[in-house]
Amino acid sequence: MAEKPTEIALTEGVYYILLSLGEPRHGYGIMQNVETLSSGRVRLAAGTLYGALTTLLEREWIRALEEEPETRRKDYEITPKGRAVLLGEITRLKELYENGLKVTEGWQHD
Amino acid sequence: MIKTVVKPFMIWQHLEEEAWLNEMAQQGWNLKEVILFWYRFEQGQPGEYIYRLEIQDLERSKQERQEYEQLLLDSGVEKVDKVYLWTYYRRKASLGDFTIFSDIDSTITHFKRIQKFLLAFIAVIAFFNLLDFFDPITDIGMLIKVINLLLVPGILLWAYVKVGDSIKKLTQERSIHE
Repeated sequence: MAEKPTEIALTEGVYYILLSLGEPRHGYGIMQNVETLSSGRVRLAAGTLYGALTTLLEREWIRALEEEPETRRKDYEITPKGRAVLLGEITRLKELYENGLKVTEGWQHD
Repeated sequence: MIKTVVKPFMIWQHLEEEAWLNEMAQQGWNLKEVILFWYRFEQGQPGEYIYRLEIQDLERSKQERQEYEQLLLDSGVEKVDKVYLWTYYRRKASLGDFTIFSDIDSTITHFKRIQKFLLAFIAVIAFFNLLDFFDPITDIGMLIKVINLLLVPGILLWAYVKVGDSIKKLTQERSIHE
């Protein structure tokens, strides 16, 4: 089932989580990747990340890979559904960004 | 050196409790153990740790809880102690600011867990108080029975509403930013 366009204003955290799961990563790997991608600006706290992962699994935007038996670390990966949502979001962000630039062109930037 | 402090905090005061524990840590008193209202501190470097509290998510399976604990461990978080549903965490301040929740949505979810717990608690207490109320053998007088029936559930209900106020404030915030 396709997600309605109105449902895809993702949170910053979810956006970066999905973007991190183009390749399999475990929880802490996602945290590190998000921090690197955003040059240290976005730091996902453990409770926030784990809650988001649970919701994304329920929505089937991501899936869990086989768990490493000893370490209790599960790897996650984006699903085709998740990719579609992410691409839709990027289109939306592009619109926001371009409109922002168009309207504020010539405004004084401090 | 070890120091024990008795200080009662209620379930809806976890932010105050957290603030107090962090003040203590700023003075070099690091929490080591909690037994209800008894807090045991160990002396260490002032400002070495940041403390946070979290109420357990009862909907999580055992495996999910283990996985979550692993994630906390990986990110440098130590579990200090657990009192019923509340877990006390700390992380070295040198690793940067430490929170369990980094956005408004998940902070709201955490408050809602507290509300859920309060509701369950109210239901159980009200049930036993009602049994007591209609029990002809328990001869403690009508007045005490009525107080019993209303007082504790009343306080908990008030707590529920207070937590609800915090959720409302956060929801307002959320309508303009994350």
